[in-house]
Amino acid sequence: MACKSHYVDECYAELKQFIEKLPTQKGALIAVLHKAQGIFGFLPEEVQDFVAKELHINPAEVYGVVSFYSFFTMTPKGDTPISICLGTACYVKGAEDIVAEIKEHINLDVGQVSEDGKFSLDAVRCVGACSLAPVVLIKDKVYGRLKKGEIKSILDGYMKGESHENN
Amino acid sequence: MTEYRIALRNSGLIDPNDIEDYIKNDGYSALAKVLKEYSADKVIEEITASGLRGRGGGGFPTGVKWKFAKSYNDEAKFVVCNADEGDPGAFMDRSILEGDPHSIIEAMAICGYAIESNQGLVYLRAEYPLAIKRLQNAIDDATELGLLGDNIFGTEFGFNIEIKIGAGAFVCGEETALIHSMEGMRGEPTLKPPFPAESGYWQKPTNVNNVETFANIAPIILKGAAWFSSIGTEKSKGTKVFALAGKVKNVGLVEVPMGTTLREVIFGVGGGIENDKEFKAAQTGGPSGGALSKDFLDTPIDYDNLIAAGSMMGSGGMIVMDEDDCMVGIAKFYLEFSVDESCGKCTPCRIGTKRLHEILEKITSGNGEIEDLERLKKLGQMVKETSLCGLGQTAPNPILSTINSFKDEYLAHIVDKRCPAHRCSDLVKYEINPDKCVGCTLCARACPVNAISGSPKKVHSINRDLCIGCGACDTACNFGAVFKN
Amino acid sequence: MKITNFSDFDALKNRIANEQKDEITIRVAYATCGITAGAKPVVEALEKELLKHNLCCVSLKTTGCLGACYAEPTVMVTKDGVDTLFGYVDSVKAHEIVKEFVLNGKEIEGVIK
Ligand SMILES: Cc1cc2nc3c(=O)[nH]c(=O)nc-3n(C[C@H](O)[C@H](O)[C@H](O)COP(=O)(O)O)c2cc1C
Ligand code: SF4
Ligand code: SF4
Ligand code: FES
Repeated sequence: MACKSHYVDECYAELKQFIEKLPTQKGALIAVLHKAQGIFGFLPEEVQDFVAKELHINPAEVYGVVSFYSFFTMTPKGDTPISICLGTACYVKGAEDIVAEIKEHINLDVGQVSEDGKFSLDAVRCVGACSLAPVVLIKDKVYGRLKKGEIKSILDGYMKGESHENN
Repeated sequence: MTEYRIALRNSGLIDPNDIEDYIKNDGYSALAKVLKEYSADKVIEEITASGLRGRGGGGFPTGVKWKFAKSYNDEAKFVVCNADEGDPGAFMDRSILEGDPHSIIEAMAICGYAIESNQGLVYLRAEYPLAIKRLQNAIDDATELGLLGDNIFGTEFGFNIEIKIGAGAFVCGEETALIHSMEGMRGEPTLKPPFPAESGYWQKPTNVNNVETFANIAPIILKGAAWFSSIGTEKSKGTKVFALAGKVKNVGLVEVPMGTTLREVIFGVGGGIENDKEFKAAQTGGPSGGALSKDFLDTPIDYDNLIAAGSMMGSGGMIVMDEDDCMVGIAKFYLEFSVDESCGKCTPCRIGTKRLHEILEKITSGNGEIEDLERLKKLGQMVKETSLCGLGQTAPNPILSTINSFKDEYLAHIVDKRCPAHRCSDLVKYEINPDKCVGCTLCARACPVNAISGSPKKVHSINRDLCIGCGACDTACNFGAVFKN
Repeated sequence: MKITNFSDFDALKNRIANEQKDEITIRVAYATCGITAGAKPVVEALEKELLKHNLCCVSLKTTGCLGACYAEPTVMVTKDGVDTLFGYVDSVKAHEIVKEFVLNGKEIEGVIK
């Protein structure tokens, strides 16, 4: 998903086109940032400046919004982003034990990116699949009803490059 | 106790991507009825008479809210659906949007007609991509069929709906913050009044209702206010949807008449506690609510009873906890959430929740003092009274309610330095059961810190002060004599 | 088609109400929780099995959540107005539901309500 460096111009062009097509720029900042993060994978200062310029607003305003919302990130995620749900349902069903297992297995704590850039671990607050707690999201796939030890074999699969697309 | 489906009437039965399936089940008939037969005032009268109260947490009478919104005249007015569903562990609104999106569209249009607004907005959280997709699809289908757009059913009335996507901030569920977020800004709450009904989205009159509130509108119009108000209790009419989660057997959605008891929900529809453990508490109202102990199992659930019990209805999350859950730990979990989600605009909430969390941290790590209980209560009360918005005003509730109902657990942590549920890792220590110990010395040899004393063939014992809770002795013992305490 | 007045709407409602009803409806709860628990292969298995037996009067639809999230994926079969809800369905069970329960009218395991 993330914008590869040799395509940067195309990425900016895509964002610019999105902004130009907006029916109105009034109040559109969050929608534009969603789009920008979708294109670039994260929101570095240059991208924020670009958005500010295109929307004719102060970069400080853009930064204020980016830093307010947990969905927006200023650091790149790993190739395989892992999000662990730390909502209440998942908490009482042992989400913390899964955090510990991940930490033990691939030496990654919440908020970190692994050194080789392969994995990153973030916490989310409830994805609405509470009935399947505890829940972990890897890339766009949701893993529910996780039992002890299961996360390790799932991660091993990703390390070997299995896609897990079809289950 | 049986379930009674009003808000969930179509969910799971119809195909949410098929507008005709919705129409087949009386869909858009309520909109047709009001546009054909009712004046705007008559709609408001009907909703008021039904006794419907907001399902987003506060329980404000919906008809009264609509009346306020109608009373402000402006060239532009807005109908907003709050689909932020911030309570972690609640998923009623997601289910309605994924299973019956047209019911929300129809109700928003009815509201638009009643308060004289032509534009609807749904603030939907980004964590719900499927709900976003299905709702957008439903909006497109309704527009194509002419049920949204200009001159609906050939009348003067026109209505459109746009989705605004959130970006992960709990405080944006609060209506003034939500409006700022929809305007593309930081979602910080502002002081009320002015209420959104007077000055909301772009300073225009705005009516904000929750998803489930809207889901009740069409049935009220079709079946009448008298029918709706015959269900429920004196002051809480209709049904409530709960998202049952946690340590209950039948995790899922239940919709029951107001006034149903907690016992009926958890042990009836919910099937009881998982693995036949003992029920300890149920948290309603999420981070703003409180833990209801077994003393409240037979209390009829309605807005007023839950507040009297130190909790609140909230949006409908119900997390069931059993004997293995530590109530001090749960309070700490919720406080951590509030510290994270406090927008930082006002000091009592920003600093107060942090201090409260620190005290809980101190208690759960074994450094608590008896005075901490008083500190928690005093500071909690202060944060409640002086915070600007509902987040800060309710954030101490999980602490206050657990101190009230589970004081013995706090005392165990503070005085005995024990966690009765064995959850607080700093307080988990091991002991040896003298009846089972044969004196084989295996545990003593396994212990890395020499906390175990005893000579061969004699009962061994563990020095609590030295034990670091590593569990090596438990693994080593072949007689099951070692246990957590 | 576009509805431009009340009678258009009544006509549409009439048309929908008079559509030939299938005798048997199979519903798969297809919301976030169901999909996460594996509802997609279940739908595919049901489709395949229905096609194989060339059943005419059975309709298959994907719906939202029925509320029985603990037993997801769930499948509800409505036959002669009677609902039977199956829980913890996988593709093997899906085949069995069509072949044994729907086609042969046999009682099979996995009913939760
Ligand atoms: C911190 C906070 C979070 C809230 N979160 C939500 C929410 O997620 N969904 C919701 O409908 N209402 C939420 N509310 C309540 C709204 O402010 C508002 O009262 C509600 O949307 C009104 O709709 P109703 O009258 O239909 O309940 C929240 C309030 C506060 C103070
Ligand atoms: S109470 Fe908390 S969330 Fe609400 S305005 Fe104050 S700091 Fe922000
Ligand atoms: S739990 Fe560890 S530290 Fe404590 S007595 Fe057993 S072996 Fe020793
Ligand atoms: S609490 Fe984890 S999905 Fe809701």
